[in-house]
Amino acid sequence: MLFNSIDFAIFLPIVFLLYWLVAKNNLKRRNVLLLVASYLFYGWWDWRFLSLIVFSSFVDFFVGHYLGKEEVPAKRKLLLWTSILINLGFLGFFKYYNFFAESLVDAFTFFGQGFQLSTLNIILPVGISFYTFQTMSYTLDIYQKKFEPTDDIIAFFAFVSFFPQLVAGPIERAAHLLPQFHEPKHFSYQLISEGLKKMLWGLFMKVAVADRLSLYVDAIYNNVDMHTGLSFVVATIFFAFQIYCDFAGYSLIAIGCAQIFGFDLMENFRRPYLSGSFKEFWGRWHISLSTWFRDYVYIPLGGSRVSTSRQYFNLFTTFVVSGLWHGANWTFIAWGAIHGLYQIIEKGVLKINTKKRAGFFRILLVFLFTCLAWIFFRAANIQDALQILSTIFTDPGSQIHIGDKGIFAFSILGIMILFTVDFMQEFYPEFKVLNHPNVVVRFACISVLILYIVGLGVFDGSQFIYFQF
Amino acid sequence: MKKLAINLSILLVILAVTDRALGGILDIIRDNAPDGRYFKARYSLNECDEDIIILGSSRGESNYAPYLIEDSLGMTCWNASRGGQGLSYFRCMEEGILNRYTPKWLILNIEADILDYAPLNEHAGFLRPFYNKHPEIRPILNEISWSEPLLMNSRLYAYNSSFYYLMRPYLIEGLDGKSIDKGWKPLLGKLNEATVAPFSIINTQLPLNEAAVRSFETFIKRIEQTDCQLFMVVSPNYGEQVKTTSTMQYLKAFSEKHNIPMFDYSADNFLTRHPEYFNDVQHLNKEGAIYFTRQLISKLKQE
Repeated sequence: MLFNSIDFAIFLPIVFLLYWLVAKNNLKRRNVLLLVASYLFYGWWDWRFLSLIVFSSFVDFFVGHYLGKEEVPAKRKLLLWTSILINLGFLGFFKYYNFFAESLVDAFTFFGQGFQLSTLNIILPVGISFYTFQTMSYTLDIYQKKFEPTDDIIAFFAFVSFFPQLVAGPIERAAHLLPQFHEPKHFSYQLISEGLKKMLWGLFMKVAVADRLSLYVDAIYNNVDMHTGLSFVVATIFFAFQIYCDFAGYSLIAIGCAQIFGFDLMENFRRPYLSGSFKEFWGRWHISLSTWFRDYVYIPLGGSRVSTSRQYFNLFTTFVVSGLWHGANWTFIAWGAIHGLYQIIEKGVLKINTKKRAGFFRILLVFLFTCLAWIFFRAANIQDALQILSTIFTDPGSQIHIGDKGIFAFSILGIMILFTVDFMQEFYPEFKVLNHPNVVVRFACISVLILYIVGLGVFDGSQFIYFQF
Repeated sequence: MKKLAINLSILLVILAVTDRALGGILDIIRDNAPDGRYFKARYSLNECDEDIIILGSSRGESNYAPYLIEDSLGMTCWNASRGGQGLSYFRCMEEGILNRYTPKWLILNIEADILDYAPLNEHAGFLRPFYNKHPEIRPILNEISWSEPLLMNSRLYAYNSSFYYLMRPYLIEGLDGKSIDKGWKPLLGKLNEATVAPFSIINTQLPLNEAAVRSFETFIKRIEQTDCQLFMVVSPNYGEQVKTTSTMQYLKAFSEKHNIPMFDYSADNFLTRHPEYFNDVQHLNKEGAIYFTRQLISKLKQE
């Protein structure tokens, strides 16, 4: 079920009313309701994939349970690896098998050796990367004795499959989210109202900005041979905002949706394009994933408490793995590697003081270099990405493909509204739009935003980009 | 909960009232457009009473000059084609027009591969502003998605994404074709031959798309219920000739079976090799359209 679908618009109020009016303060009943709703939400795509999430939940529940009791290090390690291998096994099979098989065949062919390995005709289960990482963090935290396992199987299953953040995050840690399934919830108008406003702004970002931008971006990026360098520059800048609005929009809807059920999810995006360094960018972009990789990949590799060269290796490796997490394609690996290099250059060569607030020029530079990396992220393959880069730098041309003027004009309008709000929130946090203290202004702003979405949103049921990850 | 219910109700009332008000204003803008795509759609659905109606996509819109047909055949003619459209749009126009009167002839410009691909249902969403006033087109627009009837309760949604093209005719005249051209949108400028791929022969055998075939047969069935004479025309492309496609095989067999005259210019030796008659590889320019329309008229006269 998509957040930007009529199905969800019908589903959510029903679950909301059942949750607050029928389940009331009975924790067990509430968790059962959330679990059933979450499985319905997920099964709406393809009920067969429910078996994966159920199996994953069973494995981590029991591994966590025994890890909590077991003290023998070797046995604890065995339990941990059981969980990791099963979870990553699913991920590897569904997401990476074909990629590795094809890459292996290509590598053998490159060296003149014949090699056959058949690929599989399988569909990638929606959100597998997200819930796999969430459930793995539970086991890892128990293994590291940071967290006590739960005995409440319903609460655990509801935690793994919690529908607001099930398919595209934020990737929550058990220590933050799981205890919330054990806490009594009280109906709070203030919290619910704020949650609904977050959902509204997220919907605006998704259907009125991201989906509109995608119409232009797709037209340019899907016809690499036909456009000038200037058109690619515009399309890449548009894509930077498209992916931001798509993903941050989804995250905001998820956070707001959880909030109306009394749950607090972590912030996932904090105006990333106002970053003055790449370190800051990764502290503002997909925060739940960045911190996951920091805690479970970068730090176990040695983090910053090792030699300088080893630090750089750790940074680079973490970003390459992060790129691979995004998708089974060399373009994502290249994107991750570029960001790894950015970090190394920033830290080792430029020695930028990331604690000092950056000026306009530095923010612009970081944005432009981020856009450069987005070319690899968006292009269909490495060859296309290199061709686009080559066209931009060697043959910029003098014309920009506008395409449908309506789409182009409203794309720019969407970016301007978004950027203005982000700018105000960053530099003038007291400035409120949807939470304006004056009730008339508040209602007017909410109404205008809804009307904007109705009048200028794209309602073709587009998928969220991050669902593919 | 009570406060939430009250505030949500207030918001819903504000939204409903504003939606109606904005919808009403947009209806006025639509109904008074001096030219442009909404003028054309409105005229086609509400007012046209010409003897000959031309239907097609962008090639239908640019390749047929109604004034030449009127002068040569002594019948009035209106070009109801619209760029980027397909079978769903044709069916909407057909329903809207046949619901009011029966033209003598209907000329359908059809693409040589139109039945090879899914019909462009969502493109016909451009006709949403006419959804409420024209119940006959509702079932066709409802094919866009199951949620369409729900969404169409909003008057503003009916104008979703249309504002630029709705307002443009008030600011710039004739960008979507002048009203005096009777629906024709002549394209000025000549094709740059250097940008064209080498001459090719199209010979494909893709499986026919079932939904497209169904949509096409519904279109034909509707027109066969009237006395209107249908002609099917396949326009030429520059730099390519169609030897055969699954669609062409189907159309030829279908036209013979149903006794529908079909004029195929997709392999025309003259036009497909004369770049000076094209604006781009798929669309004739003004001179090309005049030449092409004259060729067509001579064939129509024989009929």
